[in-house]
Amino acid sequence: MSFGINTNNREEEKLTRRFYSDMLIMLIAPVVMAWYYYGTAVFKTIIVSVLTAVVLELTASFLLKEKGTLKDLNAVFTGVVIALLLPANVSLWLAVLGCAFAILIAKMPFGGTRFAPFMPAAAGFAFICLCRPQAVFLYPTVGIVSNGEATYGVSLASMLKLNQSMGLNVISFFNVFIGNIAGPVGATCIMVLIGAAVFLAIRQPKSAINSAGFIAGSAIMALLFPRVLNGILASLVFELCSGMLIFTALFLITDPATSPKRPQSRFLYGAFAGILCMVMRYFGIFQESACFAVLISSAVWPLVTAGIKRLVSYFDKKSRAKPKAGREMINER
Amino acid sequence: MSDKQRKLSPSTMIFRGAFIYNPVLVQVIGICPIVAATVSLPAAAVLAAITVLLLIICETFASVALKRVPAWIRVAIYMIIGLLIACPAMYYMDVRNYGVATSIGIYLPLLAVSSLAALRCEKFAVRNNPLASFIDAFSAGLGYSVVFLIVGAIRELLGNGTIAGRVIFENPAAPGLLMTFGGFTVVGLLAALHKAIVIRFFPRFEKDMSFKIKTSRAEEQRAASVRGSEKKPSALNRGKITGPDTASNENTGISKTEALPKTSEKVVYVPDIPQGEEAAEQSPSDSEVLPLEETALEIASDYNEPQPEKQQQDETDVPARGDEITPKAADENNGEDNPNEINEYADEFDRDISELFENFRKKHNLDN
Repeated sequence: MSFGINTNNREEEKLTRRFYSDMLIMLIAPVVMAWYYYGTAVFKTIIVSVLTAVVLELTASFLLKEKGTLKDLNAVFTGVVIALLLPANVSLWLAVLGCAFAILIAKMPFGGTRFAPFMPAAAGFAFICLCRPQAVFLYPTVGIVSNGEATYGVSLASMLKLNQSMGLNVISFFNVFIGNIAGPVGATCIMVLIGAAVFLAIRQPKSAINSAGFIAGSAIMALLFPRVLNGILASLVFELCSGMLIFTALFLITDPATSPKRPQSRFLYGAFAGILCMVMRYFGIFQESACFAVLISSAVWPLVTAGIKRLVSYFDKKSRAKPKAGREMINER
Repeated sequence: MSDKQRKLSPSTMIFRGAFIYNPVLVQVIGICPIVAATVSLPAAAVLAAITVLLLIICETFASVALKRVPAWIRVAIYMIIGLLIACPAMYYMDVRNYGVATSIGIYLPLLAVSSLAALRCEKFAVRNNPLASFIDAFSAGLGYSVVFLIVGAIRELLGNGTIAGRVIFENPAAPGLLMTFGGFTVVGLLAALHKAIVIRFFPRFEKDMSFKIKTSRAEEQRAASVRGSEKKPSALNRGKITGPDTASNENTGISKTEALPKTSEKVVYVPDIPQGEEAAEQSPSDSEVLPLEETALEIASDYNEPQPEKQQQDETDVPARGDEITPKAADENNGEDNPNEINEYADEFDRDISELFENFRKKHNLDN
């Protein structure tokens, strides 16, 4: 993984900072929509979350004697993402817990943003999911939330999990498109997420390949194994729009530190994570497992590539008639 | 029995065996029960007590009676001793109906085949006198059980809100720590802390705290070529390799203590942890290649084969990029503020983020 590699220099700092500033620009639209749907309670969660992440990162970098770790904006990004993945009326200490895990355990012990073996925000959110699954996956209906009191709605992902059959006429696709359904505060509004995807494709085209692979993998699984009885089109729409799938495709799977280099590898990496996400939706215990899919794929991707390499070299060697043309020739050079 | 060993006092042996070469934090032996079963302080205490008992009896017995027995019989005898201790303990706890028994589960019987006991016996006890073996068993058991208790206390406090059953928090902070990954996390953080403390306060053991790394030849060449640019590190260089305090890494903190060579494309980590300094000193014939190292060497040679191809690729890569600023070039320009450099950065504004991580991915060989 990423231990002890000293590739730190000014240019990389700048590029990392640019990437995360782009990500923060992309996050503005979901934040505004969350404020529109749920009121100022969302801002409270975001501010607490970001403050926790920043303060903990400052403390950790002071203890580890590393300077300038805040410059790459990853701490702010982590705080905002974790806050946007939670329900509107969640208790604040869950956001604090998620940020603390992300910064103190998933990121700083490994040396910072570019050296973390796992995406910090995904790790933090996964930790909250494991700690308090009831609180994380209980979403209020759309409306102004005050003092944490709300009536609870049913999210699309939970309906899919419970194998409730839905048609496009029962749930208005328009409501799904504009995010007028229960769900994570920042991840329901498909409209603004598509806008953010366009921004990502223009500004960070190689990271957009990850997202495309993730969505393609999920879409193939949704088409092949529909969970609703109204045909594969409804399955595709609901699977892609439910939960935090597109949000994950835009903000979590694109993490530069854990994604491969080449475009085709990036696409395969994203598709692997997407397929894993759908498999965990089918067989997992939670209604949404996108963050786990991201973590698992970043953990096993080196093994997958090593396996592919072995296979390729094996067949390569087998198909060649002359032994001289193989590895020996390379060794001779 | 060499002279060197006789010079070590029992307190030194205990200090080294329990703290410096801690069985869990440095040698990572027998962590199966620690990550899975130590969800509370009582469970940890029970497991630790049985482990210490097992270690002491096993090692003393091995030192007294098993020196002339062939190795393949010895290992079976360790297992039988372990069963003789673990089975009555399990039965007793079942009969008395302690609540601990449920959380310990299968891990108490598994202690019978504890790798820690077998390893200490084979490495130390069968080559030393009973008293030294007893002290070694005591020190290893002490280090093992202290880590057990710390991990159990942390996980119980944060995951359950209690300590030994007494309620501290009504609302536990992180129930996720009670799962297995919580055990790994806590042990990993403790190991990092232990390493930092040892390097800070006992710098002469520093070299034993790191892993021996076997690098391929191409990698060493690259390291030699890169070494020139490392001599002038920038302010942002986080390694601080050539700081004023190169003599000792005392001020380096955790992350830097783990700093392994800068350019490691295909690295095979071979744990080179002395199993007690005494054992190594006493029997110089121990230097034969251990099975673990052997496999590691095999892996290394396996990976090394396609190396020349990779290197050639790299060589063709670098000129292809032409006038772009490579990380190395940026490194060289670090000292002075070059106005051209800034302009080049502005021109490169639309450059993709993945270029940044190109070297990083290459080093780790994460791509197809």
